[in-house]
Amino acid sequence: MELSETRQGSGSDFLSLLLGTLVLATVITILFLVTHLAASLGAGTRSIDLSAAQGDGRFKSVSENSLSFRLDASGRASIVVPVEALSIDGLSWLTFRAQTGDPTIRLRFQQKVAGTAAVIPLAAIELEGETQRVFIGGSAQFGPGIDEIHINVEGRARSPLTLMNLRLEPPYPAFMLTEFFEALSLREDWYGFSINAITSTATKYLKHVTSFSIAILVSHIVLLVVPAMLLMCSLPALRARSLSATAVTFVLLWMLLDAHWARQLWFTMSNARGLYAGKNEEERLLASEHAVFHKLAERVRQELKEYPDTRIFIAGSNDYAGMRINYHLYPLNVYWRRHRELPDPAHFRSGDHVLVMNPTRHRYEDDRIAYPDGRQSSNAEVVFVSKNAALLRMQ
Amino acid sequence: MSLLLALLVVLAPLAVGVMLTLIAVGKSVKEIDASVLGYGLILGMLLATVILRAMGAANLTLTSSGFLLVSLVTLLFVGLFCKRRLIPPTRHVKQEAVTNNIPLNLSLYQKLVFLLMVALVAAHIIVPAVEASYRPLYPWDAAMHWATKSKVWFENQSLLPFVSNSDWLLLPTDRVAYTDHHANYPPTMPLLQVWICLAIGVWSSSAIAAPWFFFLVALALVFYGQAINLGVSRLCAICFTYFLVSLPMIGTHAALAGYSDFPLGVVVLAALAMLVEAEKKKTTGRLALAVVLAISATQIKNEGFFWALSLVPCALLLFCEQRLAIMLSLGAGLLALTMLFLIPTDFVIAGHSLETLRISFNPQALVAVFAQFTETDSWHHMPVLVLGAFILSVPYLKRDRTLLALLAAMASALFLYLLLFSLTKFSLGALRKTDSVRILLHLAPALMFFAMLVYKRLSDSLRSC
Repeated sequence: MELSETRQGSGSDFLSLLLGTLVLATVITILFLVTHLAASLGAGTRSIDLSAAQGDGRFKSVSENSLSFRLDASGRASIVVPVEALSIDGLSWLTFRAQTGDPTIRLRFQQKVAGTAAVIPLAAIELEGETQRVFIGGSAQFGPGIDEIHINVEGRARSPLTLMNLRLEPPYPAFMLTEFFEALSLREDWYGFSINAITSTATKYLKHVTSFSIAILVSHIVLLVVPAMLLMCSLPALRARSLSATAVTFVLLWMLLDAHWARQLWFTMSNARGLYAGKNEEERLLASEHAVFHKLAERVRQELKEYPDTRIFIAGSNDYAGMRINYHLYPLNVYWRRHRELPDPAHFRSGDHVLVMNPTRHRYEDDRIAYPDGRQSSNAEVVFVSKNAALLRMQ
Repeated sequence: MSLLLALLVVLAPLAVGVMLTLIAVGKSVKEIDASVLGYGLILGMLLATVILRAMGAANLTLTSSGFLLVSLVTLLFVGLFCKRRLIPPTRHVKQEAVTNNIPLNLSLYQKLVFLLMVALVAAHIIVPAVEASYRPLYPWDAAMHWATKSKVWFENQSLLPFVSNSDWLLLPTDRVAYTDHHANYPPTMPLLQVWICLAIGVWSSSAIAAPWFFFLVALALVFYGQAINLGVSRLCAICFTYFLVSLPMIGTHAALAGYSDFPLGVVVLAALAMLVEAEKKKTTGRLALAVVLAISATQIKNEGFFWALSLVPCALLLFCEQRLAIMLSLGAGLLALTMLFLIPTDFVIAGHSLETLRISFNPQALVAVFAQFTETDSWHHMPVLVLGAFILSVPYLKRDRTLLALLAAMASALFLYLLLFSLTKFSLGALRKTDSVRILLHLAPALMFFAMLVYKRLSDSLRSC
């Protein structure tokens, strides 16, 4: 196939394409196996010591390698297994054996980031048979590693469950292609950072594709285009074809990388359709991450019906919450300043309102707003207090 | 009735945009092609914001009927005034132009590939657009300083002023003004959101994404259409169009609509491509259109001013004698550098002053800028393509004025981009991989256009040896 227009040679084009694709697939597979195997040589299997496990499941027996317990009356159990600053980088699989009479049991594994309170998903699995293997290669590594593994179990009320030989394992050569496709098949929804850069968990696997693409393109140029330009000047058709072959390879490599992205776009679109289709503006907001801010803004609007021209100051140390409530309060006349909370108390006027969001560095005491540095506002009365905010009116 | 009104409010300015494009490029209604439709969409949207600004300046209430009336009057005026140019007698229609975009001379196999590429381009436009039409406003800055303005203007039916936080605190009680995180940002994108809400009659946190869909369609049409206009083969043009619309950062910004980075990238490409075509076809209408688009870039986001400046060396190389153009470009660069030392540190240009930029060299940020190409999948293989284009263009720079001009524009823009992220406070954005990836979106379509023209040049030279 040429990227220029011609009626000739479509049969040979097709053969070139077919052969090119086969060669490409073989080269990518070999390069992936070799480089990925090299990358995983340093990582060894880590067995998790279950003897220190704690939890609200009713423990029957606990040893280094096994943990037996019953789910509670609501069919749940939460287990916390402490581990010593464990790095999951280079580890791809979580394996264990499970014995239970309950086929509905579902386990969710979470990792607690060492030295912080952050708990983030690691893997989820529905039990099938006794030996379990779940892919964790796409999980992000945060900071210095993890210091706890959380296991949340759901199933029938009071079902017994025994977990044995819990291990984190490196990639197996035999499973590497499976792992590659597992990584590419992970479906992730948007998160706050998505608008700035695409850092999906499959990125580290896609890096291989990018590296191979560069290698293949450079070889194409060095082995085909340059000799064609230097040595075969008398055969213009061959020169043109050498460039076309490189171009076709490039298009294929692009499509390979794009297949994952297109699937991801389809997934987020389906997700959005599932969440919001058939709903009006109000229902969509209530079904989204806007819900809590939309409800609060509506309440503030109700309270301020008689003061449509009032100025509203937003106090809160969480930038995201401040930004969202600020947006929902418009077209009221709102003041919110990122990274800062309230302006100097001298700027308040009688009749201004202050919406204090949790968390905040300000306090309300002795009918005044207290600043972290000891300053105080003039008197303010409480209009309402809710779980996550309070509205005050300046006197 | 309300559906008809909505359609008219949306379509009237777009129709004027298409007519103005036809006039600028000297074509008739029967010669409408992809490029004309793409530019028409962009001009139409810009015109909608101009109408809203005019209504605001005249203290008119912003209503759908008022907007429609002004749009229809403009449409009528342009249509009647330029009737003879838009609908010339049949004998003047150029047959060559009518058949220009029909892929008649492709082999069956090439036609299949062409259709596959068209399907992929369509999928990359439709899927994010469907998502954006469902999802309420999602990304951070969109709710922090873009949709804030449109919500206030739409709900108050008036273009009330936005002032800085500190100015707002000092306002007298009898003056109404609003504030948000970046009160000085240009109003174009919020005005486009107002336009859509005027059409549907209510504020909708998902319908305001519609302009981003229009920009995505315009991007594909302008890119493909200009490629054809500059002699690129249809198959090559559609492949590069697919590369462009499938860039993950573009898909993300179309699906999570609300930032102005992507529309700015579309307008920068449109200005650059029209500048090149103006030189090839030697028409002042096209040159005027390119200048209008370059100026419009400054009205979409403050950084548009710097990208518009980077088009100056390109224009000089295209329209002046080469040696003079190089001397003028170097002179302008030196002048800009000298100005940096002479202007007061608090002198504001395009929303920034030396004081607020906090100049200091951060080499780690420079490393981080390049790391985005390996640590994220924001650009697919575009970095390889662009790097290859820069290297492979070198042998042709002496003989090919267009490539030299494009290279000058892209090199100056990338130089400014690297300065921004290694020398200013924005280096933090590079280290955190927030701004550095997103700002490259302003240049990505133009870079892809440059890569395509280098490929065409290479292909032509290999064939003709």
